[in-house]
Amino acid sequence: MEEMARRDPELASLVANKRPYAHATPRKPMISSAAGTRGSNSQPEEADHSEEDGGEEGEEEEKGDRGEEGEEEGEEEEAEEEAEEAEEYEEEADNNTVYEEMDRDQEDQDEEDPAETEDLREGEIEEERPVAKDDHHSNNHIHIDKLSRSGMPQTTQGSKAPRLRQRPATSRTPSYEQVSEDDQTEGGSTEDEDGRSVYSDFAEEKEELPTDPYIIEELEKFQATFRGIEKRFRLINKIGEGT
Amino acid sequence: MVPSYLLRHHAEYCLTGTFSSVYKAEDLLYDKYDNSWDFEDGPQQAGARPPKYVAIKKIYVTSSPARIQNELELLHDLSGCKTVVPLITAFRYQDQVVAILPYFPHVDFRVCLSHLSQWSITADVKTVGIL
Repeated sequence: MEEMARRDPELASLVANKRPYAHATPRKPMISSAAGTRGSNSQPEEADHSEEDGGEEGEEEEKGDRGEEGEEEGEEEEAEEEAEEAEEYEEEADNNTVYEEMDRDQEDQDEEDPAETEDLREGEIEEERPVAKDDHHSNNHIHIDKLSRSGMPQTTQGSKAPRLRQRPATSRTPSYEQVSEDDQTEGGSTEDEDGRSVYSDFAEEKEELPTDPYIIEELEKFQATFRGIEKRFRLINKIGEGT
Repeated sequence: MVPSYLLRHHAEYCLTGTFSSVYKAEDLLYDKYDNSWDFEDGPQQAGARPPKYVAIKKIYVTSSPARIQNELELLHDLSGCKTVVPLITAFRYQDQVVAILPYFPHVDFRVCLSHLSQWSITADVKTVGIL
């Protein structure tokens, strides 16, 4: 028994108290532990408890007749654990609201490339895997979350991963329907921002004689090579190229 | 409206043309010919008539005669359509062919491009193969 207590104090305490395992060790998912609510001494606390349990077990073995006192102590421990759980859940809920607010602000600020989002998501998922147990600052999670969003290399391997929510990748380019609506409302018109027609300057266009010597030479060459063109038309300028 | 049979027969040629240089020119013999193509031609006011401009499309001599003929026939058949520039006339001298078209004031394509929406660029310009 002592050997068992040395190797696995929790198991020893379970055996001693004869309680179901799930009830004796109220474990929560890693995500909730990642919220940083347990504190740095959460695991050692459990260890201490188990050690205490082990000690109690030893006392029980020694005293033997004090079974009722052991049961009372067990009930007290259960009450304490329940109180701790309630506190943890409350703190976790507070942290979750902080993350949700941050996510909302961030989504408003930036548009994300789908590929970039996928890369970030992979990085965040990788970050989620190594969960350390010695985290004691809930603000670290916020810091990590910011780093992961900004794409900076993360070196906080030892810290716990934050509770990460999956964000849908948003496309930068609008959909067909959105584009067509925008085209009808804004882009489709021939008016600029000032409400002035884009083509309003056409009527004011005057003859612009060519200034480029290459164009002047080209016009002269055209008139010279095409017989009779000069009697019908007076070449003014070159407009461009046709296809 | 473009007749449907024309669209059917010439659909495959609508996106093709001949490489050319286009010049702005003043029509010196405007009053001596039928100008029914000119929808801006109204009753003449007293005084000097403003100059009438045309666009001269000088087709490169490297274009094949069949291609040149196809373009000119296409423009001739579609004359009268409001959405197609009408062909006024055409001349040939030796290997050089010019098509006379109405002149429309324009702006630089780069300036025009900045006013187009992304949808217009994708749907109208890119499909033609300009970009």
